Amino acid sequence: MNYFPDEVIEHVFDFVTSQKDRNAVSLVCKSWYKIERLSRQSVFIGNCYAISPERVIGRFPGLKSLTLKGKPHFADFNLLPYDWGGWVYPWVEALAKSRVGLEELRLKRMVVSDDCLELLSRSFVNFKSLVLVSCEGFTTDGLAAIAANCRYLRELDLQEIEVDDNRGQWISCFPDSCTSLVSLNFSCLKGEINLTALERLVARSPNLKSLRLNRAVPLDTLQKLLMRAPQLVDLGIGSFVYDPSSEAYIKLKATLVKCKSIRSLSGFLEVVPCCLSAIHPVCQNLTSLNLSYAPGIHGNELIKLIRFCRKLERLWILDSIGDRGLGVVAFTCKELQELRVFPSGVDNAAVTEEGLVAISAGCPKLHSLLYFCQQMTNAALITVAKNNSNFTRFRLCILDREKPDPVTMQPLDEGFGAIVQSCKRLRRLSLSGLLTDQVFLYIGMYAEQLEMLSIAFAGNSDKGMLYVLNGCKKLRKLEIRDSPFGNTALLTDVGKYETMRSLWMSSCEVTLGGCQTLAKKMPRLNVEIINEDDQMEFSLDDRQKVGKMYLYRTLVGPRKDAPDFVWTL
Amino acid sequence: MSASGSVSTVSRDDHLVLSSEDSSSPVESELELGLGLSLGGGGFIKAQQQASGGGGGGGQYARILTAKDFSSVVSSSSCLSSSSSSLSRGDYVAAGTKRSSDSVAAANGSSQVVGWPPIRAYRMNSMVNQAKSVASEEYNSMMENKRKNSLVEKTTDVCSKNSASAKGRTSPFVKVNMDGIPIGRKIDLNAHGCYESLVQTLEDMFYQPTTRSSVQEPTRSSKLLDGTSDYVLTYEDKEGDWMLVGDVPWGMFLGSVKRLRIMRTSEATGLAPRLQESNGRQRNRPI
Repeated sequence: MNYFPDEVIEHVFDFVTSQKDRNAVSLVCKSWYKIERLSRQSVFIGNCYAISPERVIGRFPGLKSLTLKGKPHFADFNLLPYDWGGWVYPWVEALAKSRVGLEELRLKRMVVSDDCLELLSRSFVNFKSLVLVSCEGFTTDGLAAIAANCRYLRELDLQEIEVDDNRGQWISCFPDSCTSLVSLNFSCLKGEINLTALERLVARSPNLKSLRLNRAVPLDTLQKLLMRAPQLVDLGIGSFVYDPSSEAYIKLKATLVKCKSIRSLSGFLEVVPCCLSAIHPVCQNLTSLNLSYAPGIHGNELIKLIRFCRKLERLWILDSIGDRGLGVVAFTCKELQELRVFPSGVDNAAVTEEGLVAISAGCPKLHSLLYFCQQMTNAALITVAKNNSNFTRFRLCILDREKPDPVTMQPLDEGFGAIVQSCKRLRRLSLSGLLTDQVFLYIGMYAEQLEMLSIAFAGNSDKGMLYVLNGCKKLRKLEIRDSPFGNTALLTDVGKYETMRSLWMSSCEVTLGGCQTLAKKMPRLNVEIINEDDQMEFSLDDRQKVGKMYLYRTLVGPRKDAPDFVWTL
Repeated sequence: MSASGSVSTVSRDDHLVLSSEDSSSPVESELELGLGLSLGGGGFIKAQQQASGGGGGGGQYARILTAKDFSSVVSSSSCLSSSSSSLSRGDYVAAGTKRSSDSVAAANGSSQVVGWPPIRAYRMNSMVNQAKSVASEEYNSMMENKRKNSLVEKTTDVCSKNSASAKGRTSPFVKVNMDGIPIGRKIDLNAHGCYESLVQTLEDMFYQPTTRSSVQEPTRSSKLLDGTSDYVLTYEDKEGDWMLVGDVPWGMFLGSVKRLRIMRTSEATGLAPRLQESNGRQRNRPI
């Protein structure tokens, strides 16, 4: 039913930007499928093993931006052996061989080698943006290649990565002709950096909006950088250590006042808490503040800082803030949308249900929460649910595994039940504390929009998992560890897994036989058994319990790069 | 990779964690890391069921053992807290009561399990590293206590994934790269008692036909150690120098090796053969 020429339809499709919408559009008819695929520029692949690079390139020859995710989420917590997979080299190689004009590559939980970065830097003339989150496998040599060869580089963003052998010379590899940088984030690098080269780079980057430094950048360099880049919107401070009576401090104070555009602040990887008053002028305009890597900022100094941040929308903090500090946040940050409270590992410093209740009462716009705490009560969760039904992401981690409500000694079923019943737009949920099958009954009944669920040390029987699989129609990712779910739960609705991206089960009750049955019934799933102990053979005993199972839907069959300890059934 | 730690079984009745074999190395600040079929609480039940059922292998349960395990009888909290599965929840409520009284202690690590609390490895590492470098004295002393008690335990398995910190080896795993192969491997040095064993394992790793590498597989040559192959085995020591493997006693090698590289012989000229003759930082790959 094409009343318009293709060019017109293509122009209309330009306004359809979300991948979900574009996927829907491509299903309307063959003609729309063709127009859409030829005009699609940005592709998101949630599981790099669900499809092959060749097929992606074949379908979307106009690809400019590719986002790839590799390892499953629990890999972040060392539940996956090092060599499991997620290598991005084959993707880059395939893209390089094709005629795709790649401009942006965003990777999460993938293994990136120096050779891969080198290949990337040499293969795509217009390459502009590299964002790596929670990746591994490369050294600063690879970064040097990117710096040296990507002439129009705009963005180099490294988040939470252990990079080897920092020598700091990679920053000198940006040629003098490189003036296009908009975003540079190397805060996770551990080693020294060539400060002069950094200063010169910033000086010749008039478009620089985001700069996140590592701990090797001292305060006087920070001051010089800020002088050169007063237009910065996002700043990550490395080292913030100096003598408050020194000239450097006075200079910095003056410079910071001039940086009126800063909306996002992070870092403080090294800090002397008493000298934070220089930051206060910046605080009043901040919408995003990440102090989760700054254990040196705590107590009254932290609270003083928070009091200035009235416009904050996003706050990442350590639990050393305490319930009292969260009370201040609740009082001050009325625009708060996202809060993450990480454990600082400090004795006696922690947050409890009190802090969470205060936040839920004080911050009506809050919808995204990650909260590591000492304890939680049903009453508190019920109150939170009453105060706030906006949550889209609710991740609660009670540090003590399987801890019940300390007041009533009951499991936390009712509390979480209240959350899922109240928050109708909940998409992501992480559970903790003592939980029975009942909580899963509630989740299956009420969490209609739930897409991702993380379960650990919870439940009593297969019923728990079945409630979730039956009830949560939009479930995409389910990850379970150390919970008593077995073959019955796994096999009751095998078709469900093709509607999901992936399922992770470790230290549960599923057996080899169960997994094999599943694999046989569902050829379009890869059912991987991950076996770390080299000595253990893949015995044929069906009753043997499986340590780690990761299954995912795929269009390309078992992957060919699986290491020895991974057995795809 | 063999499990180098102890294996514990749980007797539910007396709530004790019993070690079924002695650890082979003394526990100072070192921690044993044992790996088994399943890590975490589920393994308790497996161990029990298999002990009573008498069948099946691989019923090993392992967790990160801490200094507390070796000092005296472990408190009841540590074993029950990580059990799951078919034990009735009533038991856990009882355990919870016990544990809530020392919940702070429990949360701070009387029972350790891989991947708990669920904090990204990078963040865990930086918590430890920051403890070493923060300027504030008060913070230092606080963190020092914390570090001794639980952070080091929490992050040991993380450290095993990463290169040893500059302050010294915290884990036996080193990275191994081979020229021409984009993907590196990791190897547990403690699993080997001598150079021959190490080289054998490396040869098995890198000379087997692998499908994950897109680079042409190097032709199998004779052993790396005897100088007749196209490649030599080198290592980077603590001072950043690249050395030929095999020149110093094994123990000394273990103490100074940071990572390994199987280097093309053509590139291996000029390597300082002896630790004492090293002459400053020398890298074979240009920065």
